[in-house]
Amino acid sequence: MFLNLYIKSSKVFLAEVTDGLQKMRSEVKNILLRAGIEVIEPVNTAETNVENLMLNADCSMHILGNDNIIDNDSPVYDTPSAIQYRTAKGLTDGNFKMFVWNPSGIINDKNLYINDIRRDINDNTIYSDITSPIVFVEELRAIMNIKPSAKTDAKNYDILFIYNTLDRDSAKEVSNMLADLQTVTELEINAGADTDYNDFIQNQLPLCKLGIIYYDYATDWAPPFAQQVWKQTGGQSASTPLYIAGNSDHADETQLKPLKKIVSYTINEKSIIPLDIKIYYDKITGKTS
Amino acid sequence: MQPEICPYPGLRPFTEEESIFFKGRDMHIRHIIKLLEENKMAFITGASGDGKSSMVYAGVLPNIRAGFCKAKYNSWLIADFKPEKNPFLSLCESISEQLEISKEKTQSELKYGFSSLAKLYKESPFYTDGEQGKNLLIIADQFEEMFTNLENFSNGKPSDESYITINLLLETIRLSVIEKLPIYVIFTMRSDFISQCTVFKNLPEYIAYSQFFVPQLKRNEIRQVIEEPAKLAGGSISPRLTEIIINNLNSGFDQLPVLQHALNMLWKMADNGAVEIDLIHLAQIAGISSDALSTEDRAKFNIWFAELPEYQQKYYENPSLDNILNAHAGILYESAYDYFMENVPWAEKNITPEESKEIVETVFKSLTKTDNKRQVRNRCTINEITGIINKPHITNATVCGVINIFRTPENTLLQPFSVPGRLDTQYLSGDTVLDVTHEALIRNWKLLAEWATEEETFLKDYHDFATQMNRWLNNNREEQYLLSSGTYSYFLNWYIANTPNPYRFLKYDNTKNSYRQKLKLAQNQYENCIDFIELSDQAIKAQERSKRRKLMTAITVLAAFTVVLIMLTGWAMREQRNATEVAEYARQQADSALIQKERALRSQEMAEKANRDAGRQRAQAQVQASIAKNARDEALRAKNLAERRRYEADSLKTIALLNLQDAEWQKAVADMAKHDAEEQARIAREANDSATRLYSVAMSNAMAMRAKSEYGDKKLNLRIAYTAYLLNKRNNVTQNNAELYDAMLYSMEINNLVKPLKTTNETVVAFTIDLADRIILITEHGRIIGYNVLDRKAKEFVNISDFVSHDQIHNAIFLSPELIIYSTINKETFCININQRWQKKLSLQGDYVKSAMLTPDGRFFVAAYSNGRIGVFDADDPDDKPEANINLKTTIADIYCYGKSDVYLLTRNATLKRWNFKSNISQEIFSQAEVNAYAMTCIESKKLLAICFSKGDIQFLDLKTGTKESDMLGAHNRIEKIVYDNKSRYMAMSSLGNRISVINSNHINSKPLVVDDFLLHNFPVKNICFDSYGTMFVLTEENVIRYFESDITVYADFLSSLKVTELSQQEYSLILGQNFSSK
Repeated sequence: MFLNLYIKSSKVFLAEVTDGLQKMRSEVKNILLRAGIEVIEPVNTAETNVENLMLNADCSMHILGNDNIIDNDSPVYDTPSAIQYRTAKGLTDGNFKMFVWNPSGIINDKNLYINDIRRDINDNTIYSDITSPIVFVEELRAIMNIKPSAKTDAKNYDILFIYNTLDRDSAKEVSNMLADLQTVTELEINAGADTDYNDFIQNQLPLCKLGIIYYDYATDWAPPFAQQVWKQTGGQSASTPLYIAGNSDHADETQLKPLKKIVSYTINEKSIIPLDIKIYYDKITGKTS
Repeated sequence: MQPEICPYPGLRPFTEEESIFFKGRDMHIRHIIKLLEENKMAFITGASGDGKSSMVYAGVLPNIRAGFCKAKYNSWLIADFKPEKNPFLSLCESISEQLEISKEKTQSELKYGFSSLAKLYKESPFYTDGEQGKNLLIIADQFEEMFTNLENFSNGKPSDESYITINLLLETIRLSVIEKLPIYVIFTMRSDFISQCTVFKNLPEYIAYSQFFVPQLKRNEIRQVIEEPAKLAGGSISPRLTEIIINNLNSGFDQLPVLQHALNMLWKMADNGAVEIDLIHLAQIAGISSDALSTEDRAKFNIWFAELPEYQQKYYENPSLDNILNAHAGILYESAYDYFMENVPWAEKNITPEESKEIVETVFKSLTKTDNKRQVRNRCTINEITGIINKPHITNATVCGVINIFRTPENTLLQPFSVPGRLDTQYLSGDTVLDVTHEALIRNWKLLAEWATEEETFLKDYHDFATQMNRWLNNNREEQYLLSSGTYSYFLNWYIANTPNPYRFLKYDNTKNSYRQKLKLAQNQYENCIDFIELSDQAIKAQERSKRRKLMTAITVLAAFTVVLIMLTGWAMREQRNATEVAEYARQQADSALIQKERALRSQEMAEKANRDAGRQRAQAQVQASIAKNARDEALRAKNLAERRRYEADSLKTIALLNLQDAEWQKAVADMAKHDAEEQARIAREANDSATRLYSVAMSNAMAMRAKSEYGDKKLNLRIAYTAYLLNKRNNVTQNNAELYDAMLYSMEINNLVKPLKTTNETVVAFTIDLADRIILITEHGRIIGYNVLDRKAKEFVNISDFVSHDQIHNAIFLSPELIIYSTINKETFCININQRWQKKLSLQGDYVKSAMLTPDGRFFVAAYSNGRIGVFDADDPDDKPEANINLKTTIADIYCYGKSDVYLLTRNATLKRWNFKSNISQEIFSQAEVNAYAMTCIESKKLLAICFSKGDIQFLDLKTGTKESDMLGAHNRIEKIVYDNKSRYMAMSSLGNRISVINSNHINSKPLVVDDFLLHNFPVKNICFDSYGTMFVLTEENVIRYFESDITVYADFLSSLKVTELSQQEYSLILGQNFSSK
């Protein structure tokens, strides 16, 4: 079920704040605790101590006000809040996440530096100017609660050869011919089976050198299946290329729209298809130019 | 490999093809699939614009097709439908298509409800024991139409069709669960209609059993929506841009459409994803202030911004995510004219930039309406919008051309969308339904929001106006219910500001009527509206005049009246002996009445005298009674005498009472005589007025006859005809006068003022006039040309050569302005649909088509061939087998379609039959011996069928009762064609001898107006049509189209505009007093 009632326990490093934001920080701390999040606070402001504390936490949280904490010439540049911000920023190059909160939501003449902070956001920085601390904490908890997808027993294969039950006989012939040229692992998709193919393919395909989707009679199934696999495994950015092979007895190019634009394919006689696959395999693995 | 398609669809929903870019809902899709696997159904609800349909079509459906839903078979049948106006038919059509069963069979099976649908599936070849079967998924999309469409749900009750649809779906789900059938049902519905679902039995239980409420996207899901499509397409979005978009995105209504639109614009701004999409691109689409950019980016932006036209720069004043859509639509609005001038080949470039804006405004106003205080979409055809614009030079082609910029793949704010390089998607026919792509446009384009508010104000005023007008109509148009001075002034201003027309009223007709009925009602409403305003104006002016008149003294009025009366009488005596005689007779009547009055007065005096006498006698009797009483008191001896005297006194009293009654009766007689005398005097006055008018008509007729004489100066004929007209006008003789009409036309013709319309040089076979008063004609080679008629000139606006025929066309008939049927000289018959651009050969052939007509519902047309065969064809697929046919084996004269399926068939040997093509029963109505029949038409307002015979006489048949009505002489020769115009109520007949007689069906016994052979240059008539002003257009064998006004005032005004002067008194006497040689 998509409704997750269980919250993963997280640790948040709650950074120091500049003057005028103490009350807000205290309020946020209480909200974090009631949200079931452990709050880690710096006991001394030495940079190494701060970094260790941060690494002991799952993420850090920084509240912004009017004081410029990133400019070298700023009077607060050496204050704990500024130092802790810079330390966390340095850690975001790894997997550490930092949450930056601008509760006023407004960028005025006094806090123009927030524009610079916004321009400096990277993949692990979450910036929010939402006004409600409860909504902000809720978002933080949701982001930290994302479960990594379940891993199945994935293995490294040369070619993962996928086909539908409807094409079992035809696919076996092609697979056997192909096995003479390259190592092949078959995957038969049967709508009536209990297997969660979606999860399986998402985990398995990135470990293969090439994914083949073969079809003959299953013309209704293959194009949407290929689309979903392409989408679930990263599309143009995927590490493992997909190759569609259609038996020209029943397959034709018109069925592949819009896949034709994004995936390599062959529509050919059953006996030729293994050669086409081999040529493509050699091309992507660098055996031929 | 770079995909050519943009991974963000903008305002329109994701298609199944674009499912590869549909992200952010993976968890929700899995949950819905799980519901389907376990419960066989999923009832998806959510707020407006939260992507329910996209989630089904671009999320659930592709996953199901891909085999990610556990099911019996590996292949799927997808039967999706929207309830629209008849959910049962929509469901049947979809099921019929998927199960490959005829529509008729599907309907006849499913109408029994319950297990019918499951039974149909089980009996189909897709339910097998092996692996080759197919699962069935039924998608009931936009299920709220069950409640929003009045046809499905009104007064809190669902229609029968709605009920049976729900019954079928719920029972199918139940059986699928119990019998483990691979049938699945998905519903999508706006959550605000959940409470109304209780009107359907069991539905709430099923909803509770399998509901999925679409949740708002969480921050990390929005991040997926933003970033992942770009990654899938090989592009990227900077993290800082993602964070800023997430923070600036408003929650609630329109969150996703606004986001998708912004992403679509960003993708294009970043060179279709070729560079990383960043803050500068957001600034370039007016989504963020340039202050937020780095110094370097700001400098780049400023250079780019400086090159923008001034009108575009103003949209960057208040940048925000919501503003992107506002700026995009606003810029399109301002550039629509330039786009039209440069990119639209099919339309005339005869509009100004202001008119272009006016067109866009009208289009969007037409496409929005207020529903329960919410501004929502309102689908409209181009025809309806052109009708609302109501300018002769702005055609469907112009409207389509101007708004095309909103339909291109880059913009997609209006649907249907166009495809570059495909003219068939760019040029739309008038029947095409336009729709705003998403209601988010209405809420975010500030100008459109203002227009929608204006439209709401218009509607409110219209309702107020209609309430007052309906009160007037419901009270037999009585004067007291007309508008008062203040409200008249308000509504007149409203009318002038909005210039409403029938099409604008049509927009707000929410009844179940057909489009034709709605249009007819709207036209009636419009005419009533005009009458109401005009009559209110007249009544107010009359009241004002009345007040002014009260200021004059009664003596002055009386004196003036006397002087006028004496002058008129004297003048009438001098000028016309007949009038004098009538007046004299009237005076005699008046004198006679006066004598009677005097007699009555004398009778009254006598009666009064008798009354007085009786009074005296009664007094005497009373005295005597008194004496008698005294005498009785005085002596008993006198008792007998006294009693006798008392009896005498009683008798006298009775007589006196009788006398009194007689006197009162005499008085009543005298009063009646007096009233009679006054009535006689009134009749005399009216006779005098009538005599004056008759004299004037006689003089006018005499002048009119003189106008056809020859003089040295042809302009004199014009002046005589004009003088004759003025003579009538001054005496308030307003109705058309046949002699005067003849004289006016003759004198104009000899002065070369009646000019034909210049059209094509090719031979015209037939023509018609459409609702916008444009002429559409077909030539002998099949070319179709359309003309706007402006300032008495025909200006070509469309020229279609798609249907040029190898064989010469023998004859053609316009079934409607867009549907033509024609026969070639080789007796092959075809049907053309101009709007849909197809030509189909009729499945029935063999002779020339003699007559043809659309059925009133427009679904079929009936074609009668000269050899007596008659066929009924589907108007959309005439090349299919005829719906019905009959062979009369005799020469057909004419046909007329009436009601749903009745056709009146008139044969040359004057037999009239009624044929019901549904039941194939024909019945003879009458047969006329020794005459031939040639044509017929129907006076629709009176439901009278007019049948024309060989001697020029017309027999009327009441279609409601089937009885023969009176007949009349329509012409002095054989009537060959007859046409009735429903709007002007004119009936025109062309007869042998090349003459046309025109009769107003409201005054059927008045003398017809005649267009004679001289005016037709002695050529036979091929075709007659009327425009909406009642002007008659005639195509003759001379191959010209001539037109004749049916209202003589138009000609008179024309002569007045040419400064034609009235005859002087001297010329007048001279012309009427001398004998000139007559032509």
